[in-house]
Amino acid sequence: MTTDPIWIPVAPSTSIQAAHHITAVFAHDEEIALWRSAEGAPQAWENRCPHRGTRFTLGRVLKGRVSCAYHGWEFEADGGKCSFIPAHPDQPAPRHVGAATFRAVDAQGMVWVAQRGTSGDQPLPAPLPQEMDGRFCRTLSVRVDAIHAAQGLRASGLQERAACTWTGALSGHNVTLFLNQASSTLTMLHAWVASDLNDAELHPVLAALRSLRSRLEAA
Amino acid sequence: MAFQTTDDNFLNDWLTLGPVARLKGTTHQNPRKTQLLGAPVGVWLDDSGAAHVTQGQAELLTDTRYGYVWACPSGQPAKPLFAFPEHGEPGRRIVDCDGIGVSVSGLRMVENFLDMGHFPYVHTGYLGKVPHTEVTPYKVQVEPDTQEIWATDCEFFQPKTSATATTGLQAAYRFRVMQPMTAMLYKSCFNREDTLDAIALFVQPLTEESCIAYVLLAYFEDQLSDTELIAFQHTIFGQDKPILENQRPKRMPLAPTAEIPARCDATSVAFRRWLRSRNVSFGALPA
Repeated sequence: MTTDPIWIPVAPSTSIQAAHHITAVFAHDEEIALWRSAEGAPQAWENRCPHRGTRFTLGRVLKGRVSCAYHGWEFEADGGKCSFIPAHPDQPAPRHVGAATFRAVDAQGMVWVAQRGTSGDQPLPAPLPQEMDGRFCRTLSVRVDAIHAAQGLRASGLQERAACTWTGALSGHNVTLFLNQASSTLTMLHAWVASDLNDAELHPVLAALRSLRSRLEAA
Repeated sequence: MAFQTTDDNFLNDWLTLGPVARLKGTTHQNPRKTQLLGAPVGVWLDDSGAAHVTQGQAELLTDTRYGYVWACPSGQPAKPLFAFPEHGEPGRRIVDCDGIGVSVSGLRMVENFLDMGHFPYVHTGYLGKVPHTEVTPYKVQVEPDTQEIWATDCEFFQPKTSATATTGLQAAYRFRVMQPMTAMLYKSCFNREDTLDAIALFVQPLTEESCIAYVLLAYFEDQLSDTELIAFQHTIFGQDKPILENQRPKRMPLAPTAEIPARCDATSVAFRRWLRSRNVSFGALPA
């Protein structure tokens, strides 16, 4: 018996800079625009402007707000409220207009996004037995659902140490794989390795990750 | 495969299949192959130069007007094709810009054509420029006789309103929607005061989520080549394409609360209401 996890790891924390990128990520069958406020807090929004449906990821971060690429409407961090409509520069934006938002936190080197509609008292992602001690390696996209991905990881000798967090050895090196349930047909695995690996040592790990993906997709 | 809709708004309408000039060299055996309402169609010229449109074994009711091929899928057009009096008006020059494929509902394409608010953001330096972003109030009404939507008294500051323009201009606009898939705009002519250039948009609905947008100019301009005028329009449409293809959903949601408009969107609001009142479903998410 498996229930959908409330928090899903979607991207390494360092890949999103404050008030800079807007990146598309996927979780819970949703397409999400991920960015950071000027203060650095992760922001996860449904990737469509409430005005005319344009992907926020085409937009840019201006003055710590997202500016939509189509009409320049501006949306505030921490809630997604629309605060400026350039076509009516002298009027306040209507109070009810805003982006649909998801809760997002940094933990274990990853940004985690909560399911739509979950309340503020949901527990944060479970901590690992020890602190993350490694470096981000790469993200694998695997064309299977999360249940089959988990079965494949288990069959490959990895263990689920915490929700969405798998550890084990690949090519003789310790790895941590964060399992990102993107949709019913797609799973992302965000792979971390021990930080003291040099490039030559990394190659066999990357090869092992590729063959892991082949095994998961073939099962 | 037959037409993928039961929407009479489309089945009983005149829908374009592109410029007649594109059909050079086509025959019944070797037609131009394209798509209409999700069905494969062939378009070709006979020996007398008349255009034909075939869907499977059936030949559709076909007409050529304004240099374009039009077909009525059901063979029972609800009304004649719209009037385009500027086509053939003395002094005006007709320049066909042909079409650009866009992976979005044709309804979203038409709405984009009616929208001044996006000029400073999508057409920066051409049709608009920050901080000149304000859309001042304008009038929108449905003409009782023709049932066409007209937006009038529209104005917008444009740094380069057309290929001819050398300075910025407070441009006057009028917009007109004739059918769900056709619209026109009339805008200040840069070098002739008190005249309005006309731009027609004819959209060929390929599927519910893809279309070809054709543009035809009826201009007083007499200094620039066809190529220069066409290049300008292609620049503008090339700027719209990636925005349109990144709208979610690709079909136009018609529920009033699905997407939130502002006052500047009065034409778009009237267009969606007009589509809703006709129960348009092809390329739409009904309310």
